[in-house]
Amino acid sequence: MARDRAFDRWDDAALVAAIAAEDTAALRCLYDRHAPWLVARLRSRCYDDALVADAVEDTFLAVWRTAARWRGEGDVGAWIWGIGIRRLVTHLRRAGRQARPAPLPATGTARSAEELVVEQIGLSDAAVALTKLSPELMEVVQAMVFDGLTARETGRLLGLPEGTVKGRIRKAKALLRAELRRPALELGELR
Amino acid sequence: MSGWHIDERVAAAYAARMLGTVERASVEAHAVRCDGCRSRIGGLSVRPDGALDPERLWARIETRVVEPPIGRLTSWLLRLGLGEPDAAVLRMIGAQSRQWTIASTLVLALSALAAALGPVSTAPAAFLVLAPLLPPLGVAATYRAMPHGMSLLETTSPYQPARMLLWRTSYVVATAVPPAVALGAVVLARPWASVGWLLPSAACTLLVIAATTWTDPMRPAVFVSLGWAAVVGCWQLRETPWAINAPTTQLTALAVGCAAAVLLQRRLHSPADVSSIHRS
Amino acid sequence: MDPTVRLTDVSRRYGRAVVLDGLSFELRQGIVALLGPNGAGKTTLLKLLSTALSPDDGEITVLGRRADGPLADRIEIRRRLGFLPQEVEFPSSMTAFSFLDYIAVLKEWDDRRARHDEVRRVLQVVGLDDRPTIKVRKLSGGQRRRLAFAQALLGRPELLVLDEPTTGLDPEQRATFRATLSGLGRAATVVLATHQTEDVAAVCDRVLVLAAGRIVFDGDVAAFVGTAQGRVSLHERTAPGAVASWRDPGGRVRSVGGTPAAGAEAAAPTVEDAYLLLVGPGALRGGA
Repeated sequence: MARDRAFDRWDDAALVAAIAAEDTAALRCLYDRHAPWLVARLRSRCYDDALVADAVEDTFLAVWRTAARWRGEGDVGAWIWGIGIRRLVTHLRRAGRQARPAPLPATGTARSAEELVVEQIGLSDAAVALTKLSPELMEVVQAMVFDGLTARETGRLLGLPEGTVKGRIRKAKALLRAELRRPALELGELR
Repeated sequence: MSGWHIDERVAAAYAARMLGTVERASVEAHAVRCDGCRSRIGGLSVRPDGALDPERLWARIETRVVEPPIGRLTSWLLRLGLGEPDAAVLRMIGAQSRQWTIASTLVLALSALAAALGPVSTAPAAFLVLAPLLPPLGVAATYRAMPHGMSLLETTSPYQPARMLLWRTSYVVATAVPPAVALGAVVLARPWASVGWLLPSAACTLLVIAATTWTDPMRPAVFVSLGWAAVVGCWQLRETPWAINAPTTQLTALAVGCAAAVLLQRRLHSPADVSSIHRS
Repeated sequence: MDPTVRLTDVSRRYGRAVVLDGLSFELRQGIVALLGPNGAGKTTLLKLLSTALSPDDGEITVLGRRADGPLADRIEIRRRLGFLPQEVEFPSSMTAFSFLDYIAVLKEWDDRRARHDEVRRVLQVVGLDDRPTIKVRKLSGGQRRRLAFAQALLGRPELLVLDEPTTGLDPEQRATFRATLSGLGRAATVVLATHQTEDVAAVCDRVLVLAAGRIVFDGDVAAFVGTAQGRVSLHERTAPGAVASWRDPGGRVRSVGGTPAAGAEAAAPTVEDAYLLLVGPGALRGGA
């Protein structure tokens, strides 16, 4: 399929409209723009590249099929991510695996890389507090807060009952609040 | 956005999956709103080999987007041992014959209704006229339903006309005969009569098909239908309504069917005019 | 080299009407234009060449096999043939891709992967590769015509029989079509029935003119145009007895045939002039 360079100047929303009109060149352009970042994000949640590839394939297929129903609300990237993480969850479940946060290599380089971030980004108190959560609470926070899944999807992902997920997220919030001794307002994103 | 961007080393660490959850989240929180950082990290994560090679991955997506998926019907046919090309032909025939399928279902439903409500004696007669004619009428209809031009393309393709005929007939028989047999078992309430019409029906079908190598399929279909209705009418008048099960009837049907089959075979391979089925 | 197509005394009747009357000619690699008024028998002739019909009399040999012979021979011809009928009505629920996929199945592309690659190739040739999944009923007239043309290209046939391929195409699409066609003419034998005389001048090597079931001209394009040499004139008024006349861009009247008035300027003839002179004014209303 020929790439249509004219699309490179279009914004994401216009591309999605073109995709809704069944233009494959527009899909190619959207793929070129968003696939590498999606791959990067999904890879950091799953070490099996084959599963990541399946999820990306399904994601863009879903974009193709549902573009007509996208109402132009919000960011196209966020929409793609929302599909992508859910497709990954599906594939992980099918493969009988769970998307635990990728374990850190226990080498010195890993440590220094983390320090680098702390150094450059300057982790906020909240972020430092987060690092103190237990792995069980952390994986729930990651799925619900960072990845944007619902409690139900998080439960399916981690193989936990929905009630347990909700309990853990409540507990995580309480712990963070206690850790920070600040009003819940600051933790708005931890709803 | 601010002039702040993710450090090259941090980006590399992210792509190499060497960050913890919180650091990762920090990087992502920035990158989703920063085109530059997003494409930089995306670029670092590109695997030029394996399943995540961008071109290979795109080829997979494009294939699924562009190429018609193997549908449920097709995969079922494939499991029956049919070749993929033949399954594609059958799917096409099915898509073109929807009206026919609806019509035949309606006819059967109506005759069931008539049997349930109408006088007992006429129900079997109506069934015996209608059911055997479904296959010959159906085969004629599947040829007629095809858009002009498409039929020319079919004729001038190397696909064997006999094979096409076989698939069309199979399609009609598979969709019309089982429900008709089931209905017959109820309406006729005689074990043999509910299948006794199959041989005459096959003979009628072969007659119509053989005749369509000369002319528009609807003409022989109508002709054969009238003929069959006359035969059933005669049985009613002579008060031998179950003559369909008589050995003479069955043997006659067999003979007619064989003759039509031989004729068809000759016609399909004759050098005269269009060797395939005629379409007007 | 043997000719791709050889007709010997071929006749075809519909009932009592004689549509083709004792045609004999040979075709070789290159593009031949088939011209003629509507009802001259062009479509019938193309159906004979593509084995959709058999002649009542005479012999047709296509690619070394008898087109009026046994089924096995005709099927062998069909394997190496691409045919674009005058009108193709598509099943409306189909997509461009699935239509071509089905025709490719009929053309014995049994391997799914290879078949899909071939479908993509012809979609690209006709410039429909950016919309393969669109439903045929949503395509414009020109796009449908290109789609119908695409199916004729499946499998790179040695003989291409095209019945008015440019109807419904806009000028730009026609230009693209001509470029595609001249490429094909370098490898295959192409028979092109058309009313577009500009296409003939642009791409064809040879002209066959059919009128009332007979061939009234057979020769190369230059010779065809040459038949009108000295019979086209420019003047203030229409030449008496002209077959046709119209105003040229310079404001003068261009007359084809007839007796030029004194002082009329001779004009260089075109394929259209030659055609009009040959087939006469009666054919004009027929849409030629």
